[in-house]
This record gives sequence, C-alpha cells and structure tokens, in this order.
Amino acid sequence: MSVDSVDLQVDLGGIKLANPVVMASGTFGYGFDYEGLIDPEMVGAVCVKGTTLLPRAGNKPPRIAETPCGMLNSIGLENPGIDVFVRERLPRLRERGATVIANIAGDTIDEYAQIAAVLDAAPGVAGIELNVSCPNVARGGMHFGADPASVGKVVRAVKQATSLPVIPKLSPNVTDIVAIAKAAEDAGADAISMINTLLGMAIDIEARRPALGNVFGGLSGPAIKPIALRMVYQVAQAIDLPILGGGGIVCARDAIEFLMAGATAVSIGTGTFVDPALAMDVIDGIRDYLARRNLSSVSRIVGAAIA
Amino acid sequence: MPYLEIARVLRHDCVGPGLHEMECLAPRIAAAAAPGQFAHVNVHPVQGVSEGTPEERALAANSAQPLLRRPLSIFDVAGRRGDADGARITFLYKVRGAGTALLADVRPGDCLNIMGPLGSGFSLPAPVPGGHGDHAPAHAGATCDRAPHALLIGGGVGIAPLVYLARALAAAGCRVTVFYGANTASEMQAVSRRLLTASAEGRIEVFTTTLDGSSGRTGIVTDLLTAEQSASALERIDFVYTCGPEPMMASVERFATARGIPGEVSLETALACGVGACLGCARRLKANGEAGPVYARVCKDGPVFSMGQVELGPVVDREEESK
Ligand SMILES: Cc1cc2nc3c(=O)[nH]c(=O)nc-3n(C[C@H](O)[C@H](O)[C@H](O)COP(=O)(O)OP(=O)(O)OC[C@H]3O[C@@H](n4cnc5c(N)ncnc54)[C@H](O)[C@@H]3O)c2cc1C
Ligand SMILES: Cc1cc2nc3c(=O)[nH]c(=O)nc-3n(C[C@H](O)[C@H](O)[C@H](O)COP(=O)(O)O)c2cc1C
Ligand code: FES
Repeated sequence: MSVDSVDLQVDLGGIKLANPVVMASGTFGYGFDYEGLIDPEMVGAVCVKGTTLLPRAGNKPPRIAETPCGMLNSIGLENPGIDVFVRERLPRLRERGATVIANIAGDTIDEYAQIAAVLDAAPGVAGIELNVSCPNVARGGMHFGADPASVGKVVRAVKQATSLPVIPKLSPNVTDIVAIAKAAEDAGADAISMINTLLGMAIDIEARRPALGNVFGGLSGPAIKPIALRMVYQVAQAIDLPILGGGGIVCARDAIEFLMAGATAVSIGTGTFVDPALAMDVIDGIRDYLARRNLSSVSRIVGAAIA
Repeated sequence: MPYLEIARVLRHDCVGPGLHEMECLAPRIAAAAAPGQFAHVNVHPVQGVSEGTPEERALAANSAQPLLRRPLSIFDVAGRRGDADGARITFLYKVRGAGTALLADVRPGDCLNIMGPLGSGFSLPAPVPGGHGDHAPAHAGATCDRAPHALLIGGGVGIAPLVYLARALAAAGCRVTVFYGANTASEMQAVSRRLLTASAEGRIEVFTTTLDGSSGRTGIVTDLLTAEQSASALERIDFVYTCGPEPMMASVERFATARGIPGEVSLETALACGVGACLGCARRLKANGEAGPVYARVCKDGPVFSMGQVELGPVVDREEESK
C-alpha cells in the first residue's frame, strides 16, 4: 500500500485530529517556539502550556535537572493567565489553522469551571485538557488527581461550564490509576490524557542540596515510558473512552507501542527537546509502518496488543 | 527561526587542558548566526544516513544518555556568509561532565545534529551618520567624534562568545579592547590565534591574565580594571561586554555601573528545549511584577542581558526569595 493512501485521522473524544501526534503541554509553549521545524498546524494537535485563572510567576530556579534517560522539571505552571492566553496567544494559533487543546489548572474546582467558561467563548479551542496532575504546585494539581471522587467533581464542573470536549490528564502518582480513569469516565469526560510526570528528585552532591529549587519535580522522558505504557494498557481495558497516551516517546516505535497499548493518539513532550523535529518523524514513521503492512488506517493498530 | 542541521565535523582539536575547538560545516546556521548566539548540540553523533532500512531508521531511538542537548556559544564563523558549501561554525568548549566528555570523542568526519542559531545575541553596532568610522554603536550616542570603544572581558571559556563579537565590532569600525583571563597560558592558544588574526584586520588590543603567571599579568582578569598597564585601554569606554563566572561578571558590572557605562552580560544555565518553549531555564530579573518575581528565559530572552537586569552571583538562584 502506498504511504499516501494511509488514513492517519483519528477522533479524540470529538476532536478530529489530522494525525495521531499531539504536542504535550508545557513542552511546546504556545505553538511557535519551534517554527520552521514543527509548525503547529502540521501535528494532530497542540496542547498549550498549562494555563491558570490568574498569571503565575512559576517556581524558583533551578527548574530542571537531567537524570538517567530523563529529566526532572519544576516549572510551577508559569503562565500569563487565561485572559492573556485568549487575547494574545490563541489568535495566532487559530489563524494558522492549528488544532488547539487548552491545558488548564486550578486551585479549586470553581477555578477550573471559570477557566473552562472563558475558553468556551473563545474561538479556536478544540478541547480542554484538565491538568489534575501537576506535581509542581502547592495546591490543586496532583492533589485533585489522586482522589477519584475529586477528579469526578472537577470533570463534572467543567462539563457544565463548556460544551467543548473535556480531557482530564491523569497523574501516575497514584495507587490505582484505573479507579481514577473510571471516575473521570463516569463524570462525563470525553477522553483521557495520560500520563503526566512522575514525582521525583535529584541531589547536587557538591552543594549538598536538592538539585531543583522546588526540591521535588516531575520526571519525564524515556525513563518513564514502560510505566506510562503499562498504565495506558490497563486503563484502555477498563474504560471505553479514547486515550491520549504518552510519556517518554522518543521515536516512532515508542508511539506505535502506545497505539497498540490502546491509545487513540500519542503525545510527545521531552522527546522534542532531544530531537526538535521528532513529531514529524513520528508521523512519517507511523504512516510507513502502516503502509508496509497494508494497514489502511491508524485505527487498525489501536489496542492491537490487548489480548 | 532556528535551523536544524546535520553538520559534518571538519576539525576537532584539543587546544589546552580539557579544552576543545570544533569546526562544523553548518551553512544555514553560520549564515544566520550573530555574536552572542548559541547552538544546541546533540552530543551523540548521527548514525550514517545509509545505515539500515528507512523503516529501521524511522523506528530507531537516539541515544538516551545523556538525553538533553548541550548549549555552546558560537565561537567563530568562517567562510562566506550564505556560502552554501563552505560556511562553518566553530565552538570552543571545556569538558565539564558527561555530555561534553562524549562530545570530545566525536571525530572529524562524524556528523552532529545541531540546532541554531539561538538566543538574543549581543547588541551590535548600528550605522550612525556623522560617526568617525562608518559605523558606531547606537548606544554610544549619535555624536561620536571618534571610533566607539568597546571593552570585552572574558574569564575562562566564557571568552567563547566574545571572540566572534570582537571580530564583528572591529569589522564595524569600533575600537576593541579585550581582557582575557585564564588559569594558564596553555588554555589560551585557540583564542590568541583568532584574536591575533583579528587584530591584524582591525583595532583589537588584547590584555591577558593567568593565575599561574604563565602569560600576561598574574592574577584574575578583573585585576586589569585597576591595573596600571591597562590604564590607557580603560579610557573613554563606550560599552562593556562580559561573559564568564558570575562573580567575575558581577565585578565587571560594578565597574561599568560606577562609571555610568552601559554593558551586557552573557549567562549560562542548564537548558532543556533551548528555544523558549519549556520555561526550564528561568532566571529571576531584578524588577518585580504584579504577580511577584519575574523570570526571563536564558535561552530565548538571553543568554545576553543588559547590565543591571539580572542579579549576578554564585548562589543567586538560591538566596533570592528564601521565604
Ligand atoms: C547559552 C550558553 C552558551 C554556552 N556556551 C559554552 C561554550 O561556548 N563553551 C563551553 O565550554 N560551555 C558553554 N556553555 C556551558 C555548557 O553548556 C555546559 O558546560 C555543558 O552543558 C555541561 O554539560 P556536561 O554534560 O558536560 O556537564 P553536566 O554533567 O551536565 O554538568 C557538569 C557540571 O556543569 C554544570 N552545568 C551543567 N550545565 C551547565 C550550563 N549550561 N552552564 C553552566 N553549568 C552547567 C552542572 O551543574 C554540573 O555541575 C554554555 C551554556 C549556555 C547556557
Ligand atoms: C518542562 C515541562 C513542562 C510541563 N508542563 C506541563 C503543563 O503545564 N501541564 C501539563 O499538563 N503537563 C505538563 N508537562 C507534562 C508533559 O505534558 C507530559 O505529560 C510529560 O512530560 C510526559 O511526557 P514526555 O515524557 O513525553 O515528556 C510538562 C513537562 C515538562 C517536561
Ligand atoms: S531551555 Fe526551555 S525555555 Fe529555555
């Protein structure tokens, strides 16, 4: 089969993606930092940097530390706030025809709903990813994501505030991720995004103190891929929602593994830092893989590894 | 806009203890690079393009250890600008940890995946009508009756971005004075060679210090700010540029501020994306905003900052806001 006849389109809970490769929140800014290497309209969707109701300065440096086959970050959701996002960042993405998934975080359930209401009225947003899993902020974030009932409440509140597809992003820092995913499904989520970073730390042995200014940070990159893959595989069997799966993807093979584990689309984060054109290579790699095996569409391999 | 090039390494020489000079064929980056900008280098050589089937190559991961790219300043640019076949960039780097150690093993003929040019770069001379030379730095004021005089102060491998700058300033008609300090003379060969060539081309005067006295004055580079031997070079400075250890840059900043001379510093910090996307390289600015501290991105808003914009010092990241 020729590569051109492979159908790469997927439907992520009502969001139509031209291909299954999505740029992960916080690793692709507002879509234009890699212009010329990856343009925002070339990928399936762009999850923009996590946005809060009010501006946030972020955590004190150092904010990153490299670890074996991965990195820790403690950015602390530095962002200009939802109003500036809608006014100054979104229009350019919309003009370019990018599929934009807004990523939002709140300190309270009400804040999530308020931000969602603002986005609901903003043209150019295809869906909302709920960050209930940020390990780098004192309140909200991961604390919501660790409790199935709280995740359910956030999802319900946001669903009431918007008609856009709602995609809670799950934290791996929990005992039973399947229970959280089920709670999100019961509350009306349209899709599930997973996984966010794993809580970790590193110590600078010369300075005898934590390497990160915030002490703890989120681990990403190839080091977390086996965990992420296992979690996607488990959740895919337990729920009926499409999954945006990722964590540690650095090549097309990794992406195909996530698809076979049950993800409908894949997200690429840290891999872009290593190889700025990775997303394009992954799109090509998936297409080639399918063409060589005479598989007409991505859907043919989604969940293929599930017994 | 950054370019991504598979750059063939043309030369790679050890030029002192733990110091390496590497020249790469990277025409697009070379054509676009301004002094003070940097490149983000994947230290793992690219596997031969003919190895494996297309599918094998597409599926294969890069080496994951170390994972992230390493930022290196553009030390020099050679070959005609826009010369698609010949334009080259050179790096001068010191082996510090695993990443630079791996880089040091790269052989001429190998290819590296390099992204650049990145970052803000130094303010460069803008043509000023009425100036003595054809060009004068805009910040030196429009009514120059003499060639503007720039003082460049580099400590250790911090000299790297200042060499290309010195050549660019001299080419633009500035008078250039370079203060360069290192541990020992054997570290200085790569820089000396380039600055000597450059001083033949234009107005560059170089003063050196070494800790062991093997070249120039014995001591640290900032000693030159008060030394008699360099006193004449310190007259009528219009702009100061500095790169090196932060305590050194802090002294230079105090010197410049005390005399009311504007200047720029070039910072280093660990980077992840290198293009402004991840906010991982944040550096706190002196000025506060409505939401409290304000951070700038070293990779995108910097690495060059105006003097006075950021707090300099060895432990600045920690002592601030210790709530
Ligand atoms: C914009 C920019 C331009 C630079 N230009 C040059 C250059 O021209 N020549 C040169 O020799 N070096 C330059 N550096 C510094 C260089 O990037 C680091 O030395 C390198 O990343 C260290 O990597 P490593 O794997 O060898 O060491 P690691 O194993 O990563 O670290 C070794 C030690 O160096 C420290 N370190 C790590 N990264 C940095 C960093 N980026 N800056 C300062 N300390 C760091 C670590 O805290 C650790 O203590 C530049 C840095 C920046 C940000
Ligand atoms: C520097 C950095 C910043 C991040 N910021 C956010 C964020 O604002 N919101 C969010 O939901 N996830 C954020 N993440 C998590 C990523 O979107 C992704 O889920 C995670 O890094 C795992 O994927 P990866 O291994 O491909 O990077 C961030 C990750 C990194 C490395
Ligand atoms: S390294 Fe990512 S923003 Fe500077």
